[in-house]
Amino acid sequence: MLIKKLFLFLIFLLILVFLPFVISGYWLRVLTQTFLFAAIATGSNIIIGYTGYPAFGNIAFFGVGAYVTGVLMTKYEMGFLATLPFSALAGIILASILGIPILRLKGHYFAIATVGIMETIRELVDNMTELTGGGLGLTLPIMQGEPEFIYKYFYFAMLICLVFALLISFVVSKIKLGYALKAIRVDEDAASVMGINTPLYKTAAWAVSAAIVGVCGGIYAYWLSYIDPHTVFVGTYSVKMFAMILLGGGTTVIGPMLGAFILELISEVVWSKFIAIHGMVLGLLIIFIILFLPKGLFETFKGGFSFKKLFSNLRENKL
Amino acid sequence: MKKVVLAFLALLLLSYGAKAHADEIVFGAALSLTGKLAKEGNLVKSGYELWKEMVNKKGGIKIGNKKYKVNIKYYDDESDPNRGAKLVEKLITEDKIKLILGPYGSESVFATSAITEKYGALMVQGGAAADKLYTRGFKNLFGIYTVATEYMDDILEMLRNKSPKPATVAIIYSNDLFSAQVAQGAKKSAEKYGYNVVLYKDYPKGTQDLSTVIVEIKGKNPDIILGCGHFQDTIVIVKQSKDYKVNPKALAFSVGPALPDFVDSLKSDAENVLGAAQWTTTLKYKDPVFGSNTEFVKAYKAKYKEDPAYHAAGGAAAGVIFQRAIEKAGTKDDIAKIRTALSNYSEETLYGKIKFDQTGKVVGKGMAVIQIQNRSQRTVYPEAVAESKAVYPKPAWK
Amino acid sequence: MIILQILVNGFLLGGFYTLIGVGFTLVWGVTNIINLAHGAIALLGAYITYFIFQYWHLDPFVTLPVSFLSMFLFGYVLQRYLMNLVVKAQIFMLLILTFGLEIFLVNFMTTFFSADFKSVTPDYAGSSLVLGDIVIPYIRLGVFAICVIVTLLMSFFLDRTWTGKAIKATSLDIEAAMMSGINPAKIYALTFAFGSGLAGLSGSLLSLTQAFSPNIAGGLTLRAFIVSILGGLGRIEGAFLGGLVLGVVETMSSYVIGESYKNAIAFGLMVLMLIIKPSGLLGRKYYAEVKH
Repeated sequence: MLIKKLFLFLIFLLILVFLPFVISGYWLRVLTQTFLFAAIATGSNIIIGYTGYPAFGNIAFFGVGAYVTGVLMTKYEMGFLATLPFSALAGIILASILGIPILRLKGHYFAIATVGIMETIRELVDNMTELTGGGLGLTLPIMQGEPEFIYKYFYFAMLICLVFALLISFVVSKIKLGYALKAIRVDEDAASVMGINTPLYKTAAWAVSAAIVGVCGGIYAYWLSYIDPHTVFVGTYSVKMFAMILLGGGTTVIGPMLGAFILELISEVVWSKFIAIHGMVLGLLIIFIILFLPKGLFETFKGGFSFKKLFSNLRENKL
Repeated sequence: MKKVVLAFLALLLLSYGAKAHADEIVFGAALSLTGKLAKEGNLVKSGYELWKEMVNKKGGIKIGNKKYKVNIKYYDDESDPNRGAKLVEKLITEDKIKLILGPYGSESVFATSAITEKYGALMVQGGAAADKLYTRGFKNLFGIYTVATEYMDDILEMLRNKSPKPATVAIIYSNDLFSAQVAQGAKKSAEKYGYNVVLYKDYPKGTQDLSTVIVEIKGKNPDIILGCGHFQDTIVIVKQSKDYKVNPKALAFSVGPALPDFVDSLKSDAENVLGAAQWTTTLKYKDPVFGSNTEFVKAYKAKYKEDPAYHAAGGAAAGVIFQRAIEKAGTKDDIAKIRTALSNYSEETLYGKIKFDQTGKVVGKGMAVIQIQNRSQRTVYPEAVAESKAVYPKPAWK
Repeated sequence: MIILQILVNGFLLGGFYTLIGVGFTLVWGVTNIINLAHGAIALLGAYITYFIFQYWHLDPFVTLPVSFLSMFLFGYVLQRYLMNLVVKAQIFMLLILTFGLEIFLVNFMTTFFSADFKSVTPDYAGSSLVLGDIVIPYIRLGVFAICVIVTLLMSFFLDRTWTGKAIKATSLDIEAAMMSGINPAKIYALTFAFGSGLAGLSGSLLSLTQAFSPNIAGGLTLRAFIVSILGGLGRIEGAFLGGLVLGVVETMSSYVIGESYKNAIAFGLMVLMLIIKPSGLLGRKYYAEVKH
């Protein structure tokens, strides 16, 4: 079963590797963006899906990663690739420091604390004008070369980032950490009683997740070549990421990625036809997912589609 | 998994480009039609549409002896610059359009012009004023907005000659790219004209309360207050200045008074507030397509049942300038020739006398100064085009 | 003297924050739903006041009951026929659900009311009470007074009426409440209705003191967040205290440290509160915490 899945995944990957040589710049960009979201969702899923901690403000690490790359490239003239480990490191350090006090909180409190952290960091970045340019934003060096080359470069950079994120997520799910996280998700008190060092594992999960999201931010900054606090600490990305995790299913490795592909490509193809109202459509779509597909598309319809399954959530969770 | 792969490929196949007819010229525009810049984006679009209608009514763009109809392909960037860049990419690579009309907003123009530059497509934009757009050595971007750092210059120049002569200025600004540059320029202009800047302070973008700043300003009692921010901040500053009885001799804003909503929102409190304006409905300029600015305003009112704002006029003017450059170049496909025509462009349009420097930004256009008098926007400076005299000093709040 | 003026400003601002927070904290405390659409609902109230003022020239303070009642009904229907359907699901499902609602409402308002900033300015706007060096704008004073009255009425309602007691009972122990004949579906709907009504009310008052557009919804919700966390969940008095603290901290820090830091300080304060004392200044255990 695993072999078959792996085989299919490799075919999928192979297609993605060859696609840039047949599709146009625009679709390259769409896919690059999709990989970005897929990687963010996969990374965030380690804390959200595996551990069951709704890190609503996880995009904070994205912004931090973006600014670390931005500042290192402009102020310290480092090469782009050399900055990425620092973006990851910044995420790890921040998550480790904040993890101890914040991960004691549960449910809504945790979700809100992460949002508060994101907003606080954004405001601080906004004020550190000397270092970050503040509201004026930060212009990164523009990559030299033919446009075709640059697009392929970022396409593959983001694809590699996504594959790494999936690999890390897969490994996490298979080692002791993964089992500990699952135990925490199911019943944290019981896990604690069983001798699992829950603060340690939770913090580790958050740090891994922060590292992945941070690297995504770093690549994004160089890709966009201009960042300001409001373009990288952006709340709507948090929501999109959450919707993707939910749609694809948060307890699996590839669920968030599939959710990202579905949502991003739908938005690209279908919503461009509903220009005036697509915001409303997005809102309704999210409501629809929560009402009918809270376990994710694939989990809900395992073994075939039926209307009965569509309404099972309403039956189970009605007051 | 297999199904996902198939569905994914099917989605990719769904994309196809629009085919251009032989006797039309297709322009592309990725604008903010939804999201936080929806208002301005739609205004710019109205300007493009009116221009298109007017040109097509007259037969089209004339190249040699043949006339080509104008067609514009739109996308919505949802007020997200990165999405805008993606869509301009789509316009260029999928729809094969190389004549791009700009979006609204400095961030969006910044991101999308990088794409047009890469592909050697042309962008004429009437929707962004950041100086930063023109310091990247781009060859294919032309902008008709007077840049941010020059925004407040004309107001300060006008006030310099009033009596009693104002001596002190307080400058407050929103912490974002555009407003910070306006403030930097305002400070420089103030120093140039010999004012004493007694307060220079930023506040967070989109703030909802400025009472502390207003109280601080009151303590300094400046002759002039310059607000460099956005519409909502401007409303808050006016309301709270009145609340706390702050009475400067002049109250001026970079953004706000020039928008029709300003008077609607503030009623009589809007009286005598000064504003910088890229353009106003009453400027007496000739125009090669509409005939004159007055004719443009008339046509706009007939179509949209409201007065045009400067965003809409900027959109129409960008279209006009693009059209005239194409006509002068005598080609619709040779981008290099059209670019040369734009570089050498010098003509009076509804937006003023337009001329570009080698970085592509408009030069010598300046800003009009407007003042709210009897609930309408009156141009008070430069004197050559002024409709009425500026009220100075501003009477105290009632 | 300037310090005193800023302190007064802080209290007046805090009055508004209280009102935006009180409905939010009530809903959260009783139903354990974090209503991310709170700010959007407040804006619906602001639009009601705006349109009535614009077309019928009715005084904005007179329109308060209209906006309260319409949002009350809207909230009731929303909870009864949407949120109650999945209320027992994992908590962050509801969080996302209300966010979907927020996106929908904001885009709805953008489509039908445009993204323009609106503001209501009655003739008496800007008149102020002057006490020596201290200036107190009447409108802000009015907002403050309404906030105090509403807070008192709400606590009276929760403490003294049968429905109020039922709401409190449900919030403390839903099973016990059901056994004593309370229908939780109705109580939830009623609570959400009160939360939305209060949001609508605060939106109407907001339209008087500043410019609003659909896009400020998120910012309003965030303020409601901070107020609730500072004061403690589900407590009316908590929201009052939280609102005042937030108002004073914002204006004071803006004076002492700098205007541009005030948001950082407000959010930082919230995170700090969550770390030190998640139950808030006046916190006590509510259903929300006991169960989850």
